[in-house]
Amino acid sequence: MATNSALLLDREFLKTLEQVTLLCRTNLAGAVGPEHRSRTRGPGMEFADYRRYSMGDDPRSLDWSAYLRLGKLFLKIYETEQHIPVRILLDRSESMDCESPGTAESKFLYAQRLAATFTYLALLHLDTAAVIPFADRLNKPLIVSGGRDRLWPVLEFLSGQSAGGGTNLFGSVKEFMGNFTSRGIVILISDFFDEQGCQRSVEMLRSAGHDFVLLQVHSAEEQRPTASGELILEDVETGAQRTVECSPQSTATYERRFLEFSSRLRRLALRNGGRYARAVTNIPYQEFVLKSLRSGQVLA
Amino acid sequence: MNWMTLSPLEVAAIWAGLGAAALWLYLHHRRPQRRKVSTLRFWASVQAVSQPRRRKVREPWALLAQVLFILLLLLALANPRWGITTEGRNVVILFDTSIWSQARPAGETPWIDRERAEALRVIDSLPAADHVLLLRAEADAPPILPFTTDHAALRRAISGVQSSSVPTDVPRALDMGRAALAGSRRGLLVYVGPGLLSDEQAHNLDAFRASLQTPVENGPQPQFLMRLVGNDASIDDRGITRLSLRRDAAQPNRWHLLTQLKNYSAAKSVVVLKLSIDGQTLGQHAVALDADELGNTENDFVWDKGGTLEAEIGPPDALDADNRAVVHLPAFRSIHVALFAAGGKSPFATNLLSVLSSNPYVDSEIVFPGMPLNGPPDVAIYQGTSLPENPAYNSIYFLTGPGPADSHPVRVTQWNPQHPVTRWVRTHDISVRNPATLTVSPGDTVLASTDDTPPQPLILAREENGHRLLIVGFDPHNSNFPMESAFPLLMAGGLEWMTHSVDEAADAVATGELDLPGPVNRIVAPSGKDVPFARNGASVHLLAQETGVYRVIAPGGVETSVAINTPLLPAQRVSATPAEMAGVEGEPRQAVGSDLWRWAVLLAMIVLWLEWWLYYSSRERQRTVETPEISGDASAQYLDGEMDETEESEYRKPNFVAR
Repeated sequence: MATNSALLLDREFLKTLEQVTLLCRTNLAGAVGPEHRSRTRGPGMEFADYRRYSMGDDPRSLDWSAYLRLGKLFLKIYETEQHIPVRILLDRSESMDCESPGTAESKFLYAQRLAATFTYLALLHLDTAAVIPFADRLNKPLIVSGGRDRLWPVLEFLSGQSAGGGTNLFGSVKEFMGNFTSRGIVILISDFFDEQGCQRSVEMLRSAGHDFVLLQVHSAEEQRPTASGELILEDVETGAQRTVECSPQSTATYERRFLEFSSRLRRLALRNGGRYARAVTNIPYQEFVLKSLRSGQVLA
Repeated sequence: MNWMTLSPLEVAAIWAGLGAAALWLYLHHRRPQRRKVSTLRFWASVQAVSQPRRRKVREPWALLAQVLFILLLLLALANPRWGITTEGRNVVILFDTSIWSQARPAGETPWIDRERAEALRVIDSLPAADHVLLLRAEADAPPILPFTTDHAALRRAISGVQSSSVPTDVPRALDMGRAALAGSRRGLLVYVGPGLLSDEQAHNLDAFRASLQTPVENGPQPQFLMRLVGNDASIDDRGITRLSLRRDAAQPNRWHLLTQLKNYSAAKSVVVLKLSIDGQTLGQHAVALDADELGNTENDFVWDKGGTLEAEIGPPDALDADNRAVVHLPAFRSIHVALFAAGGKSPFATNLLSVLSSNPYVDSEIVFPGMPLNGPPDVAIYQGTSLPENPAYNSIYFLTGPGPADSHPVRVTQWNPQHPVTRWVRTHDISVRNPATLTVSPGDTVLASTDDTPPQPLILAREENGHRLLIVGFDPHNSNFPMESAFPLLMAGGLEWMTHSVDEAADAVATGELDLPGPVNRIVAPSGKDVPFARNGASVHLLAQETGVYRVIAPGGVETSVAINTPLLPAQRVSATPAEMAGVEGEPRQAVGSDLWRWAVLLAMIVLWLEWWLYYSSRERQRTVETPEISGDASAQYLDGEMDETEESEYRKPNFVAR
């Protein structure tokens, strides 16, 4: 479903995002840049600590004032400002665009907005961002860098995307690992409705050393269906059908199964050193980004 | 049983049909909805409907209750009866409350009281089970009390009934009473009253009596009884039957009054007629009337103000209601016409003044340039070549064309017969020279045109800024129009259209059914009661039951008066036959059962409630059976573990983030 790019992010929201930083939890060696905060010590502008000089240290970092006062050589240690590539894997499978009755906007549009938000945050801090759509395989990515002015091509690119095809998370992640070898922040935005499961995909991201975030997007109807009576349900991706009797009891069972699925996904992310967030499309994406992701230390 | 004109077989067929419909509704399942979903994985744990359902009734007891409900409803409509009781016959009593019932002969009780006593005697002679309908013996026979067996209520109704001022129509009321008895077994029809009819009514009564002798298809003819009060000797009455006023043609404030008097008694008598307007006596004189004579007397008087003229006769007699009559006297005001002359001695103004002076209702003056007006005129008359921008009065303009005065004459034709100005003008002999070219604006009415092709308008009627204008497109001096009799008619018609007519006559209206010109918001009777009326186009239709002055209130609060008087009363006394004076015939009581429809409806309601209860309790049972089936579904096996309560409640929050 093609979307008008003007609808993706509003101006006020973009202004608010200037005060927000994408938080990186992993020490990504070699990824050094001017504007990204990390816990790593190294060359930079922000003073962090002193340590005793030892052979082989860069003499340019010696504190000569301390030497004159104390007669000992001390080395100034600075906080490294990392240059971190941000990769956004955007699920564009058919299930992402499955319209639910009474839903304001589709999951895919919601996911597009989140992808645009993360890209903008990366561009704000002069990082390189890659937006990589996928469904049953990886699609052609868009790689942008060079500051906030580069957001427009991203919006154009996202607007040009349409949902279609089945979900092959493992295949797509495997292909991604082959194409993007350097470590970075990986934000996987999907409903994770892959029949093959997502355990292997997550483990693969962990083994490659990525700092990853699993962002589960779903509608309220997907969590608790409002339909009642006899239903003929059709899986939009596989075309499989199932006739069910929808009653309050069966809806409660359904919801419990859904929440268990989300719980397993969360445990999988945490067990593998990643982060997890769940977005329901009836909550405005601005509220989700500025409140939920900030409080969840995905953003700072 | 009353099976609604259906045979038991047809009723059984209806029951079977409705029962089948109920069965179909019970067997009917709503077609399942089709819906596309993102994944089926969570639906795996929900009970699947893997094969088409076999059509079976899930709630058989509820279905049975519904079929029973339908049966009971049909039974209630059929109205079955149970047991044996007796039912009385139907009786209609026509109670004559017409104007004659107000009569009170000297030394006797009022006729209305004697009628009450006779009616009560009839009631007392009836068995308690008889259903009695009490009607007024008037043209439309309004009911006093509907069919009832409550004798106490009948007594109260008879005691409370009052006389009206409407003349009776006994034959018509008898027809309506017989219609009320149609379809039942032999009923009883009783007339109670003085039995005074007009010639036509007496003839109709004879026809009614004759019709009672012929059998009819829809039941036996009722027994007809008459209970007459009073006698011929006791009718000692003289009454005013008509008041008619005509304005004098030459002297507008002079009136000619015609008073019609009727002597209803069998002896010659002399009455004194007294006339007054708004309490101011005009005069009185004696009028001699022979037995049963209808005489006229004429009076002239001068009166230029409006008011209510009252005529009263004396001495008092048996019936007071027709000793007095009123008529509304219209006010007179002459029409002020100003003739605006061009200057000097104007032959136009002088000639027109001579035409207008012949009309006694018009007060005209010539206004020369610079001369002050003697008050604002009702109508202004101008002569010129063009119309002013904003006319200040209702005006008549005579416009002259720009051509020479001796130009080729044109004939004036096509007079508008619908318009009040040219309603009386029919001439085809008028020709004019040098006509003006008139422009017809929207809303204008063309009153006359030339015989050219196409015809050119010569006289227009226009309404502008609240004033009415008559535009004559030629100079009367350049035509032969002033020589014709149509000219004063056109001028009089124009003045009437602009100022409304002066009433030239006033007649008293009689009680009974009336049509009044509308629109009307409210009509108030002399007693102060509101009179109901029906709108009939622009006019209203009402039944005036009282004599006196009625107030008619139009929209906007404009109030007019209508005087209603007693009409010429029917005076031929009917004689009752011995059979009509006989007592009430005994009628064998009919054995009938008591109605069971109420019980059938009650039972049907109970069964309907039972059906609902059975249906919903069955559905609830089914749901509780389904729940353990779901929890035991093997399709949930793929799940890797259950959440604890805390975790689940946390997960129900939207936008959950874990770190």
